[in-house]
Amino acid sequence: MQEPSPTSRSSFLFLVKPHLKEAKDLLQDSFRRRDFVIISGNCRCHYHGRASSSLGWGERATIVKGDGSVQVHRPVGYEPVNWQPPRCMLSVSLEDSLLCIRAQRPKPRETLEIAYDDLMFVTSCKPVDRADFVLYVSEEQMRDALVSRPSMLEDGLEVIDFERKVDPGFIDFYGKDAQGRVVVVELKRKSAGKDAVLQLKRYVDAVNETVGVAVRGIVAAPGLRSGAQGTLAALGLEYKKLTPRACAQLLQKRKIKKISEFFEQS
Amino acid sequence: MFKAVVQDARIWKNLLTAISTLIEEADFNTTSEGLKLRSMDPSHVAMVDFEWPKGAFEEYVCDKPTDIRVNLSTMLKLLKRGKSDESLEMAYDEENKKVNLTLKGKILKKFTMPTLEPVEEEVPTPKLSFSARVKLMSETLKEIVEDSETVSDNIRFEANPDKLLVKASSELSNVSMELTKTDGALLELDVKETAAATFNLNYLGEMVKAGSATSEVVALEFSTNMPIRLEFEMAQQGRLTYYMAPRIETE
Repeated sequence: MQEPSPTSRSSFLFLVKPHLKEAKDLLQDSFRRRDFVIISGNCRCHYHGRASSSLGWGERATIVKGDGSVQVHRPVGYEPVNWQPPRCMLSVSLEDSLLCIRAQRPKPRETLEIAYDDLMFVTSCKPVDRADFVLYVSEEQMRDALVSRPSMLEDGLEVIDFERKVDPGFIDFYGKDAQGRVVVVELKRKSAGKDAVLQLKRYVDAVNETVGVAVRGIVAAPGLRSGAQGTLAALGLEYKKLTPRACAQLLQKRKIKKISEFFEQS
Repeated sequence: MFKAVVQDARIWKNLLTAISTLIEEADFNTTSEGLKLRSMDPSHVAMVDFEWPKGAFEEYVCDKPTDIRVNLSTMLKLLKRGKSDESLEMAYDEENKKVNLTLKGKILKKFTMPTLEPVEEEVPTPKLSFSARVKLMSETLKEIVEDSETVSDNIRFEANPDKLLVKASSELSNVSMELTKTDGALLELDVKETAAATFNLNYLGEMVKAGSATSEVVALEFSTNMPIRLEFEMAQQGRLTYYMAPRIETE
């Protein structure tokens, strides 16, 4: 279900060049409320736990999220230089004219200490974000979708096995069609080329040696690259269109309902 | 002020463990009548509804309604120190916003833990009517859940006036179980209308395993493609109820 975009934005607090004491008071409340906090200024960091590290003075931003995770970012790079996972115990104090933020994890005992001597800004808010993150499906998920509903490729198609080991490798989907013929499917999440067709041919040949019935080979992909069509026809194999999008939609539909969807019903 | 004493510290530990299968932080609403908690898991698939009335405590004092939010794993870590012959006293220190836990056995142990800012989110009561109600021993339910977990991530309940069928299947294997009153597997079976629904075992498995430590008897209620209600009956008028949304395949 699509969540409507919230019309009124969440409120937030924003302190520009605050005194350390002022920032400490704000952070104390923010940490208790489990707010989303960004602190920017001049700091140094110490970490001790399974290992230990220290980072000298520099201008950085610290992000503390509502789940108790902490990240310290330097001016470049996408990864934090220091971090702590969710569910940390957070505390803030003024020590020797420094604003000290401590994120402690009890097990394994790890502590990250961030000390600011000067602040550019501090912001605290409770952002609302309930959207689902839809990841483009992998070949494995396409296989899961096909296994759960083989009819999306062809009416009457049934699954016998998947990831079936044969001499040249693993067959993505192994099943039988409405006429009882064995069907071997090679899945591709991008347009299939000659190599995919030749790979399928090897699987079909391997299966042909062991079963006494006719074997069909199908390349299932969102498209067929130029050149592959001729090889396909020459080897007596087939192509059927299967898009990652269709697979994603199927997997999406199979998901679990939410209990809140039943609150209104009686 | 809020203060409550439980005779056996382990009972409280088992209850909190059961609640912690769905949520990490718990908002306890305390009133002069007793203690309540109602919360959905972060993905809103399931809900826990817990009630522990005044009379179920050895001693209970609450002079004004207070919401106390605690981190359950922190509290459980302390409660796991409790032994069977120890009683547990819980008190809220409003001034310092701390919870004091006292375990009384051979040694008097006093733990203090922080509380969190309560979340003002009213979780509504699901208004549901069920066409099937089944009562069985918690151990029996735990067994069929574990059997189903061997083949699948989902479990399907089908009830008709004579029996409860439990099915679990994956692409390649499946299991089916038949439970009747005559064979002694069910204590009660009340089916107004044939009902069938499928549920995710990751959630249900956790609920059933933790819930069965709190109670010997469980009542299952469901309707076709509607949520399931699991109620663990408590000897001391307490109530631990779970609700969970079904898994539905839409065309």
